[in-house]
Amino acid sequence: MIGKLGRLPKKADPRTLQLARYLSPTLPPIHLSTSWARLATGDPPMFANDRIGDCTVAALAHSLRICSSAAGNQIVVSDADVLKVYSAISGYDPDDPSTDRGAYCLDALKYVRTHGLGGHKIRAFAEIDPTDLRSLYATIDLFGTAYGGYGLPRSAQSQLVWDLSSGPDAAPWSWGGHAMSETDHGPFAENMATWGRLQTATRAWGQRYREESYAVIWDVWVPPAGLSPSGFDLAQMLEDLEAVTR
Amino acid sequence: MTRSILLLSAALLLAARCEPDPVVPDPVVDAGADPVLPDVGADPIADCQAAHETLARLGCRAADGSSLAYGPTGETFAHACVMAYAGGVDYHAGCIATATDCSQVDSAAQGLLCLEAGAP
Repeated sequence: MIGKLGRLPKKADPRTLQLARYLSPTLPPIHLSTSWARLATGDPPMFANDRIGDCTVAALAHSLRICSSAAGNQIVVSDADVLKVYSAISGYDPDDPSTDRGAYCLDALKYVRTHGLGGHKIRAFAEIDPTDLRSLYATIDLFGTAYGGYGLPRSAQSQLVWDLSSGPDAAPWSWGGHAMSETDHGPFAENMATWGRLQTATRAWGQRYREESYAVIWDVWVPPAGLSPSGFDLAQMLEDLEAVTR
Repeated sequence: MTRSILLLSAALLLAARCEPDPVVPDPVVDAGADPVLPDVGADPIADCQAAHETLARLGCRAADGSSLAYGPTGETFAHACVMAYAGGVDYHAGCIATATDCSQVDSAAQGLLCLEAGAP
């Protein structure tokens, strides 16, 4: 099943925290492979992305599902919850299909951090250099998922495993913009939750088409008493976040 | 393993687009360009090949159940390992090569197995 897309080109905000600032040299080595998705029960939902271009919010709903299941209490928000956020950040009106024009990843992150998604908020998020594999994999290891924005090639429409190809259909954005949550990484590929399934993409594919990437820390993910994962300065990150959003 | 970290811390035609006329953003950095291996005095190509042979011999699986020796498109671990190294991800291939059981592989990839064994 191929669904709709809905990610607009990257919107930059100089205030966005950069994850690299908070990863210390003592960060634990990354795992050879990590799969948080296997801890979730059931198939990934569609979150209405088969009929509406709400991928920027659906990807966050996938992230919440995976992270909450890893924390021991899986949370699956409703399509209505997703569409409520999509409407708020994009002006989408369910009664007017012409308003389904997509949204910015950054707007989705900011909205959910402030207002929540189905009652659950992002505690903090930080941008990752989309070409920095080590930070991407460390993000998945430490925070459960990475939220990614891609310029999809049309060639992906006919590939079971998304891999590099050639020709006009291999051009970034020849299909359109899409947001997905990366849930697993291994030496060859990454799995991304989208369109009611886990989509596998080779590492090379990800490096070519990933245009923005974020570490997302959900309220359900932060360990009790503010205990931060080894090697990550969560306290400093939250302090900085307060400073830039004051 | 990963839980502990937590505690510490034709259908194609139906494909519809949200934007009728996709906006093409600035060119994307192609990180898949020819890798330049850092000079750290190691031989990542030989180590990665040895690690691949170990993973293939042991039949080890990734956390999602997929093969660790061969990727979904047939890529060998030896190749993926070298590419990862060029991208700043060190799987400690020389240590993986010493694993005698799949349960050791993740620890080996983090370099921990060889530290425990007293290797440099």
